[in-house]
Amino acid sequence: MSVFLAKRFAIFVATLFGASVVIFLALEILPGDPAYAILGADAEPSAYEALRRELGLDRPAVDRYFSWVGGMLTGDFGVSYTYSVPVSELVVERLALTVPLAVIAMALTVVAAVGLGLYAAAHHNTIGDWGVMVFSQFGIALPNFWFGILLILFFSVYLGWFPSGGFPGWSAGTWPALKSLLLPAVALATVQAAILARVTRSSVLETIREDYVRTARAKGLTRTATLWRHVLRNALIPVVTIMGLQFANLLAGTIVIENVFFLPGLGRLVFQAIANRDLVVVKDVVLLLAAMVVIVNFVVDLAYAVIDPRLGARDA
Amino acid sequence: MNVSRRPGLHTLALRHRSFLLGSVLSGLVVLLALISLVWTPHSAYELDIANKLKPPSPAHWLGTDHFGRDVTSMIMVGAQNSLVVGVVAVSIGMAVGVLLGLWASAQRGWAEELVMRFSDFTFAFPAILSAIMITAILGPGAVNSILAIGIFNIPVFARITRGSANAIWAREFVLAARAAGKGRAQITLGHVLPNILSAIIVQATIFFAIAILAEAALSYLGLGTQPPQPSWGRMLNEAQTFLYLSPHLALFPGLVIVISVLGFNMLGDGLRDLLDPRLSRTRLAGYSSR
Amino acid sequence: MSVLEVDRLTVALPMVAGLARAVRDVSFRLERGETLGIVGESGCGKSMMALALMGLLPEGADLRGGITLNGCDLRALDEKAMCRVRGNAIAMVFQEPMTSLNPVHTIGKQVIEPLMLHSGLGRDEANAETLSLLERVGLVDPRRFYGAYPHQLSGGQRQRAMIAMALSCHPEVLIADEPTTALDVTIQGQILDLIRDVVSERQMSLILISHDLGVIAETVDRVFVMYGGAVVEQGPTPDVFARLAHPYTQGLFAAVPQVGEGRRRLRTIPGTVPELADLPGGCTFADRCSLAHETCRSQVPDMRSVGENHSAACLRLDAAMASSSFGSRR
Repeated sequence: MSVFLAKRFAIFVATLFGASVVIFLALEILPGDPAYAILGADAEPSAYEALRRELGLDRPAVDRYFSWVGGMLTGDFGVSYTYSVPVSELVVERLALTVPLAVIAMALTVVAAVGLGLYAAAHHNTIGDWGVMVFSQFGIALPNFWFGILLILFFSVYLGWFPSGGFPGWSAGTWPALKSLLLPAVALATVQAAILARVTRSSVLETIREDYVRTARAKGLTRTATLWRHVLRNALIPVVTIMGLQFANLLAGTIVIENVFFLPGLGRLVFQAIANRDLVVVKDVVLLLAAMVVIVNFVVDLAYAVIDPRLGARDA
Repeated sequence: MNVSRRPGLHTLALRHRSFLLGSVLSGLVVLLALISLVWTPHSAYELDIANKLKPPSPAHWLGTDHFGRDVTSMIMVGAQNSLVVGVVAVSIGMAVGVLLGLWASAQRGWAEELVMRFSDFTFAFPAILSAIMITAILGPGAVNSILAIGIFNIPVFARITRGSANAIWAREFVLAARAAGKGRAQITLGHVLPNILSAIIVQATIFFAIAILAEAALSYLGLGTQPPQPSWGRMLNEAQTFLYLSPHLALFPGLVIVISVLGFNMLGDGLRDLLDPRLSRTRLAGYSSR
Repeated sequence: MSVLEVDRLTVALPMVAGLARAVRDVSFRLERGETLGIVGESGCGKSMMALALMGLLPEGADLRGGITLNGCDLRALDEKAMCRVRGNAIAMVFQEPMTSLNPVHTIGKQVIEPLMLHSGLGRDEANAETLSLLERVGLVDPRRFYGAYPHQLSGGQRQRAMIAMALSCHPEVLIADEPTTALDVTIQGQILDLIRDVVSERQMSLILISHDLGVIAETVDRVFVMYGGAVVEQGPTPDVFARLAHPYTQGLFAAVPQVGEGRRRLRTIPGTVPELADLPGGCTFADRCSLAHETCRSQVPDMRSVGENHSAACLRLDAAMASSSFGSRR
């Protein structure tokens, strides 16, 4: 077990390091001169020099990389060029929206997908199973931003139940804040749930054929009890893998969905920062998003070790 | 014994529901794009402010947008855009990814490790995120979004190619070829590539669908195809402003996206069943066992 | 009263190639403490018969005939009531100990499960019972095995755990489907001894299914030879082995390597097991039988007596028993 975890932790750290190098290269070295990229080619020389100093561009690249990463680790994210405030302040404020949004969406995804997948597998070759598969096929083809627009059209424009966008902030109360996150979360979750429901279904169907399932039935367990006690946990192993990958898609999806619903989250921040050529913010937020993805995948690895007792033995 | 009873590929294809429906839907989209090259009901670019935001009518089947442009025509021309982005992006991803995968599989050792670690690590950058990074560097635009989507495809193609190629390298006829003194490059081109082609084609079809989705998302964000070139994503972006006035504008471009993605996805699923003998064999075995 | 009565049991399975008649018209009675062996090549329907007795046939299977356990008609029970019988009055040990245990649960958790379901024991009592069961099946240091996962055990140890599981609720009938096939030869004997010992110790009835005549000869009182889904020869084990009546039984026997016979070419039965979906008319063995006549291909043979309680289904019994090509052991 510990060998497995140590290995996973090493990969985790290496991936984070690699990601930071790629982001640094992509956003600070590739564009040539970030100061030019920010100001444009026709900038005043004095303003250009001032910005270069402000961004620390007069120092060597390796120096800059380490002070950037060191800063990220200690919470000093640098200063946003457009907003003139510390990026950390911007980020913390936006995280309070994006993290709950992603968590709600993930929770919806898992509940819907595992429920539907189990249902379809338990009712294999019935109309219910067919319905789940059709939903899944459509869900996978659904662009989440368009589904978001449809949700707005129906629940905001037509029914008037939910705001069509915007975020009142948590200070406005938990319910109004949650209410404005619900439609975006549903828009994010539907596509992911469609994929995950399929994975769950086929995984359960495969597990049902295992010999130990027959053993469980031979012990006198009912079909339902067998499903819960013997099939589910084994069937979840591939489902959890996909879940980890999906969280990455979900976080990326927030960039789009936050723009659909005009939510001031991390995704909208990075999007606006690109429009404003605020490379400091882009660099920080992209690393932050990548780090969240990597961390979630590390947590998924930990979850494996809990679900599957064979892991330790296999890896050791 | 059973093999001889198995009907030919074309008979199976005609029987395969998902393959049939997928071909019809994706064929429809391709047809739409082809027709738009020679004919559209109206111009997709001409502004007609007097007739803006009209609901569907005999003159404008799917209505007009806020500039009075004909939505039907824009969707038709938009199909060209989506298909071109799909083809080019998938080609980039496939060309580089397949090469990397073949190389990794032929060399093994450090080369394989390098390619695999690289593709592992790109999972930290989901499609949209990397596309956004790339457009942040290169600036928004159709070409850059194609590049972004293509680059994102590379590791996935590399991974799949390497996996299938490794399986071929372990087969007897490759051993025989090696024993006959053939070099790695010769074996790769002569034996490995032809045998994994179907797996790659299946993947390409599925990635085509993903590329269409990604292009639509980028265009919706304003990072992809730029006006006045019509694109489905951009149409949805503009439609959102007029959601209260003209909800129909938000319906049709989205529907076409769903139809194309659904079509290529189902085509890919169908192709996988038909072309990949490994999978169809397990399916048959699974059916008859216990 | 017999513990188990099986009356004209027939199982048909829908397959791609058509309806497979996996079990055809099998009838027998099993007394308390009696041991019955079912022998035949793989694909002859033995496992389907076991699953039919357990009420665990695959979906879509068509089951006919009667199964009566202690006077209770199992066919009349609904699924819920059948769940109370399985693992309780009738239990089963499967062929593959490697895959028949759930990899994510501890051995203890899996052995205690039937106890918690059927015995009405409390947690603590069930725990104590589980430990003593593990010890009984030869897993010494039961506490260690209780908390172990299947992947940490050897094949033999896993099969012992499977046996403990089957024994837990004192079943009246134990079905063992090829319990030693997947094991090393050295372990096979130990597991057979264990099964034999617990069966006699607890006065259980045993149905042992095997393709291995040696395993059958050593373990059971009475033997059924199955071919093409039907019983072709049956009788007390010593009698059957003394006078191999059916040409198929003779062929099976000749295919077993004998200790002490030196280097002799192993005989095999020509041809392959017929597809159960595509059984020939008449005697199902006719295509592979060297004694087959024209009548064998058109007429279905009935069971004919060969000795006391010993019978075989063959139209050419006289020729078969006279033929010296497959002599008997003695």
